[in-house]
Amino acid sequence: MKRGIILAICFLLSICLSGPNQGISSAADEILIGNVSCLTGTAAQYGISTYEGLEVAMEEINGAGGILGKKIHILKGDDSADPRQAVNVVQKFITKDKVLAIIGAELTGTTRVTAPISNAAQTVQFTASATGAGLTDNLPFVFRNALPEAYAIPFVVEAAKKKFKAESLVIITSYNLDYSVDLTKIYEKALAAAGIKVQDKISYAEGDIDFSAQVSKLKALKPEIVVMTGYYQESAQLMIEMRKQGINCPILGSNGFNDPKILELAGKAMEGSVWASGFFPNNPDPKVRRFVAKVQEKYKKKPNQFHAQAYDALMIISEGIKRAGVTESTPENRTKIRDALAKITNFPGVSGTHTFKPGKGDAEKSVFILILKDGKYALLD
Amino acid sequence: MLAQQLVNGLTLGSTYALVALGFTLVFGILGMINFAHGEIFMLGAYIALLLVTMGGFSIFWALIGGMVGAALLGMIIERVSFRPLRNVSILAPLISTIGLSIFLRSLAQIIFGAESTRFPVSIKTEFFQLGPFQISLLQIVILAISFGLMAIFQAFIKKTKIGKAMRATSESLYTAGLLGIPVDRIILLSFAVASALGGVAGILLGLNFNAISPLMGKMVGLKGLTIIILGGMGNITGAMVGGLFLGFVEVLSVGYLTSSYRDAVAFALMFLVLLIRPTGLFGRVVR
Amino acid sequence: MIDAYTSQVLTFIGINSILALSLYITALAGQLSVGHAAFMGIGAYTSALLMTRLGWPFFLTTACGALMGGVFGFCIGLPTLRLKDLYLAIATLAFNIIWVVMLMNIEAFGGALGIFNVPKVTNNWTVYISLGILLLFFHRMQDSRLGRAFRSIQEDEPAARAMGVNAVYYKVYAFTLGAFLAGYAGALYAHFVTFISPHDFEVDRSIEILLFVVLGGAQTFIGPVIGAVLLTLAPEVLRFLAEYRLLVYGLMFVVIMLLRHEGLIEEDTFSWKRWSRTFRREGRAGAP
Repeated sequence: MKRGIILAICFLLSICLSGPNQGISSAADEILIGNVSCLTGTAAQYGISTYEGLEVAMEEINGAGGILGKKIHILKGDDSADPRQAVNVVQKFITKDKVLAIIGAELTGTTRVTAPISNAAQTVQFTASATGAGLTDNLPFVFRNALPEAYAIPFVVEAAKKKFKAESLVIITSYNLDYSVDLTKIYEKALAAAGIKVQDKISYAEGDIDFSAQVSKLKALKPEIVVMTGYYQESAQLMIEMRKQGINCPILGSNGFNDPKILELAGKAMEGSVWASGFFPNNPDPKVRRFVAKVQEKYKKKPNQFHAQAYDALMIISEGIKRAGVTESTPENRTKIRDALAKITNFPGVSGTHTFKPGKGDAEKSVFILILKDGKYALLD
Repeated sequence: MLAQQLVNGLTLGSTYALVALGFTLVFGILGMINFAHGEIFMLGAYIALLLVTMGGFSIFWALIGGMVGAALLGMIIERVSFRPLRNVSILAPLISTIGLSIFLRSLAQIIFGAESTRFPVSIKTEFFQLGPFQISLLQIVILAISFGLMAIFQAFIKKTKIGKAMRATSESLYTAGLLGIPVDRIILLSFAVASALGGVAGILLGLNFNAISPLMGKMVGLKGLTIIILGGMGNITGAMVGGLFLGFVEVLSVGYLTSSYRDAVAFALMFLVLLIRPTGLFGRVVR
Repeated sequence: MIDAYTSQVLTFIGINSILALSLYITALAGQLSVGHAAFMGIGAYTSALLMTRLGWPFFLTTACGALMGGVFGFCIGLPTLRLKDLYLAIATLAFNIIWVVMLMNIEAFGGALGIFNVPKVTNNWTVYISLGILLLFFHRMQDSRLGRAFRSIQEDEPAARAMGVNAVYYKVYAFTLGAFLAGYAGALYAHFVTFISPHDFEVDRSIEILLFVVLGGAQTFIGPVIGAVLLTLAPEVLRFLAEYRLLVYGLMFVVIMLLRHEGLIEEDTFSWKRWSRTFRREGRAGAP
């Protein structure tokens, strides 16, 4: 009995006393930017990379004196890829922390639910990684610099047609992953437009570890090219199993391939794969080289697309704040920032030159078609 | 393709069988389910990984080490979730182990990262062609170890004194106690053996697919559960046959039907069995 | 008034409380379900589809959501009558998993993409009025024939049957009602979060609901509600724990089972008599 009471009291106490409101702003001399993303869970790798990219940008900006004399502070908000939590995080950012802008969410699903909330609260929400269709449509406060798959895939298909001269291929879908299902449809459309037949479709589930059955089925189809539409983990596994069972055809990928972890896991099995990226890490441009060196030094790893796009996202938002000339978080000010952002053209980022066209929240920027050659990222010529 | 799928099914099934054996041993003796068994499977693989990458041990010693580690983990779980709750209710250990499985999974995610880690393979990828069957050296090794362990386990349970004590305890805890069997120790030992088997299965799976992840125990654990219900809870032969059966069914459903229903297959089968013949296809050990 | 953030958290607390009660009622008749998220999902999908595809009004879609939940509850509850404890828990778990897989594969219902742009109609009034009605129902039920029938089945089913209690009727009733309420909560959820996908209703969610009841205790109907309140607040308050949250969560199950397996709230937690006893230190000497 007593133990139970003590337990209950401890629990209640811990609830009352704990949880310092992480978002208490030293409002006067700081600019608060909220970052909602998945820092835990299976997509955590993407979210962590995004945060790291933001940190690098933040340090650079603050090191140069901040924006309009004030330093930036980035608030972390983990949603664990759960829409419910994402909604809570964003609501908290807006209501309690009174952030000036929000960067996120990481994934398409979580962005879809949070964008309307930010938009209604007249707060800019900028996603540097979600690639689903229509995320910014009819939401003037929502922007993104991640390449929508619908935009990037036709380039991949075109490049594949030229290089591999394929007439048909097999698509592998992760049937319980919204990103993959969406992407499969996009690929099908692009392939139809390019006159390439879809020989067959095979599916697997997120979290699967055994792909032997699927790959054996694939082998019997004798595919010319295989398209993978999932995240890096399962894609790497599929690649390994494919090569193990003797399937050596080229592989076309997607945004999921943009984390170097896939190379780490798949190793040689990934050789020759082709996919689209918003960032080319071996870009000789000095700006990119500097960025790569910074990330290498700080985190002991090479930056991936998420690092780069997040870095650019914060840089662009800072530019917008600078142009708007306001730092206090009020609806009028935030609207000024939004208006300033919408007019940005030819912004030089490490992931390409960004331009926002009127009425469109998706940044126009270059698509890099990458191929893995000799274990390194190279541009497909 | 059929031949190849059969080989796939056999390899997968033997892994499932090992996991199911662990479940069934615990259930046979205590009448309870260790929901965290899937996590033991996963942690066994990680222990082996650490031994190989950080300790520089060969895969052979990593296997042994993984088994021992898993066994220890199982014993800890017994002391935390089963012994103190034995007389509380049938569901208390279930709930406790559900919590443990969540705990262990997040612990692994925090320590090892949420995504897959490469499992260093030290067995060459050589293929042998036996008629229409193409089987790799790796798969042969895995099958050898799995079936070898199952055979050893069968012998252990049937022939040794401890094995007999375990069977007596599973028949009736009370009577076994009266007969002078150190019931508490036997139960602890059962957990150790069950967990060791689960741990090995994890390592073998990691070997087979070159990668392990903190989440790999979740589905496998749940499927292990379905297997013992299919095969009869507490029934050792049932667990082994059930495991192989599920391996085949899953692989064939992927190969010939659509692969997006794969996970549902195991559970649909189990549901049906529960409705029609709750004691499983082979019946269960009488308590 | 209260700000948007607090209002949001309150809504989730309300919905979770209804969910907790939906599991509680099935548990009352001695049935443990680890698949309630499926019923919630059925309610959510039914109401979301009816509103987005057919444009039906809120009250109608929610009612249908609840009804569908109930129908499925009946369809699952009836054939599983023979299953006890562990077996029933596993069967409901299996149902949950199968249901999610099926849903993922039905493109017409959105598949893995889910349904979005569900109009946000749920507000705190709807949720709390519903909850209030429910609480009243449970309060009245305690001493009613229904409540006593449930309790007798939970305590000792064979004895109850021997006494003439129609166990089959009551068990199916409890299961169906539980699924009905879960479906209702699901409908409220769909019209609040505006986006649902099969992932929202996986086994993890069922386990979450189970924890509400385990933490709060299934002795009284207040228990599950308290459990829901505490556990809905916890992620918000413990946000600083970030990556360690799930760790604490899992550990909680274990600790509760060890220290106080009946849950926090007992039958006499709210009675004055019981507390005055502790303070007076009379009566039961050496009370633990």
